[in-house]
Amino acid sequence: MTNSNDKLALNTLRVGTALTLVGLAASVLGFGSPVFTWLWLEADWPEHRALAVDRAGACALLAAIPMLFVPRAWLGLKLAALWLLLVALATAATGSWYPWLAPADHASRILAPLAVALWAQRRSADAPVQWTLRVAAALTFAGHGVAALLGRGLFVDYALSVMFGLGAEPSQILAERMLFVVGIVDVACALAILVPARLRAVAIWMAAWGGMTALLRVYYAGWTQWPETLMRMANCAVPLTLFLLWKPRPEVSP
Amino acid sequence: MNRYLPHVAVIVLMLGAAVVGMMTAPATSVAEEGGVAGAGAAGPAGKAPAQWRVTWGENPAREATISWSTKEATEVNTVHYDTRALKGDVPSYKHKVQAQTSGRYTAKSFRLHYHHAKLEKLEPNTAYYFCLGSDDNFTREFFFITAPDTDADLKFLYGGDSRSDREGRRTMNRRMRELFEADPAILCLVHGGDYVADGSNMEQWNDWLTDHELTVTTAGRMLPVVPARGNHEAGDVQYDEIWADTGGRGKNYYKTMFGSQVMVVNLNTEISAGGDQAKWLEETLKVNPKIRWQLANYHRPAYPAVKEPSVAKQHWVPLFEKYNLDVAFESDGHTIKRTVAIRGDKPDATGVTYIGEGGLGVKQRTPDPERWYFKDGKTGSASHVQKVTVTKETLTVETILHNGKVFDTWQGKPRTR
Repeated sequence: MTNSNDKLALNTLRVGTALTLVGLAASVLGFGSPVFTWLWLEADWPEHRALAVDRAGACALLAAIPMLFVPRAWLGLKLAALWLLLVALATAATGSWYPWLAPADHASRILAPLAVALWAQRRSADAPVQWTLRVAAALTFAGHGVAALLGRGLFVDYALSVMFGLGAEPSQILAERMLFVVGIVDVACALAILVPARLRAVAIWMAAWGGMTALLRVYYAGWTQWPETLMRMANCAVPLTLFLLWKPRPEVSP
Repeated sequence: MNRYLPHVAVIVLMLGAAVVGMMTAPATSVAEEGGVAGAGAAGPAGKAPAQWRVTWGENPAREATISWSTKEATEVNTVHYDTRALKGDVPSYKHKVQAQTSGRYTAKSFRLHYHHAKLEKLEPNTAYYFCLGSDDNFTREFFFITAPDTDADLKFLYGGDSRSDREGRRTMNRRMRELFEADPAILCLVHGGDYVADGSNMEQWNDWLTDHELTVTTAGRMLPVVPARGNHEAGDVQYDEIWADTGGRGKNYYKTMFGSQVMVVNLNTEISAGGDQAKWLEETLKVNPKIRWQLANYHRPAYPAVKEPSVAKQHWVPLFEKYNLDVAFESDGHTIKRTVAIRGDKPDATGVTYIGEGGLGVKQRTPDPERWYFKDGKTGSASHVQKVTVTKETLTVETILHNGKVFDTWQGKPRTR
């Protein structure tokens, strides 16, 4: 670790991932996860056993949080990422509204702990780490962008709540139009973050938007929804990490 | 050796946490399931009409959509109907209506065709006898009875979630048939959604539609369905192909009047709840204050027994409370539940009671009876259907299990609006 920007970036990613893991664990411990649903309904496990596995996964996520801050604990983070991948696949297998979008939507929360692990292993934010972050941000924005273009009802309601909050007359047609624009911008950002050039403006926009849309969950439905907001903190932290990493470095005089 | 120590520590820590998680998982009861094996049912064959059903929308006293499926495409699809029983003598039926819409259900490879014939200008509270015809293939005679249009006492069934346990579903369909046969005053089934696990999968719908035939009584009386869209049908065009666009294609929210004094608002939790739908709901409740019994039917619950609250709580509950809805029927949780009356997110005798959670053929979960709204309420875990009995003085909701036992009874009185 040679650069203070890199340190800041790593700690940003660590904190964002830690918050995400807290949110995910709280949500599972409160209401269960799609892994439970899949094991119980599709794999025909007894309810108590499926619940036990679900809770075990949630507790393992909590146990992974300290590992984010320990340089050599990358194996635990990879296991956490693997579990989160299983959650995304279970969501796709048991979900309802365009379930094939779930793995893309979840990409940041899956790949953030993996990026921290890679960073710890490789001891620098080299190309594999940065591409992991880029792909994570791109998939998350692409998934949400497509959902917006498809007019997801919940997103329409979010847009309506923002209109209401701004004192405007809520209009579903207007909300759907807004959502269409949001979808286009999200997909464009998803593509832009993948171009070889380091587009810091795109990264900071994605970080801001990821943070705002995460906060929208509590704005829309109240503080009881805090796990929903926290679990989406990776959507902000991942592009913010890229933004910090891509800060131009001062030239070293010979 | 030292280099492996951190990894060993990590694995020990995660395994320890996992064990803690497993040990803190609450004990669950074993769901009481019907599981009575039924006759095998492969579905339609050739051009013979099958998977018959009656769908009710806004005005079940005057209108009904009769639908059926054929395996192969057919040219001429008709309903021959009369108010007299004619034992299937097709030329004798006074009325004949062509299916207004026919087509192939949307599916990659599975072939099945739908036919919908809307009957209009019907007489209220009247038995209509009919035969279905596709090309030269005709069914036996069936009948259904239109809803009354007066302030009459009436009954209907409510249930949801018939998606993942076929034998359980067939058991519940037989249970509904038995209830229907024993009590001819039952008008229909109000369905709370989640018919199948994957609403885009026509093989699953094919099984569901075939199983629905089990609700037809021995005498041939059909149990009309008032459908609502569930999350497992969210966004799937097959839902509208099966339920003939009830409530508008993709929108699927509408009110149904049973007689002059029972209104059911059927809502869709899978689209925007706060936009046009909420406006429609408010307008509907606002302009009908004199209707004595006002009920709602939708899939994902505002006051769930196991899951987290849906968008219904945010957008519809305030309207239910403002306009003094009597009961909201909810599904999705795969449990039995009846809440205490709720207003302002706390117990209040003047509030709304939430009943249901879905048990028409899906494994049952163990509910969380510790939630505040179940104090003085009721929870359980077994396949079930609700029987709703409406008179001028009372509205009674009985939760009937797959074995016919009454698990819970709730009664409400008319309220001032």
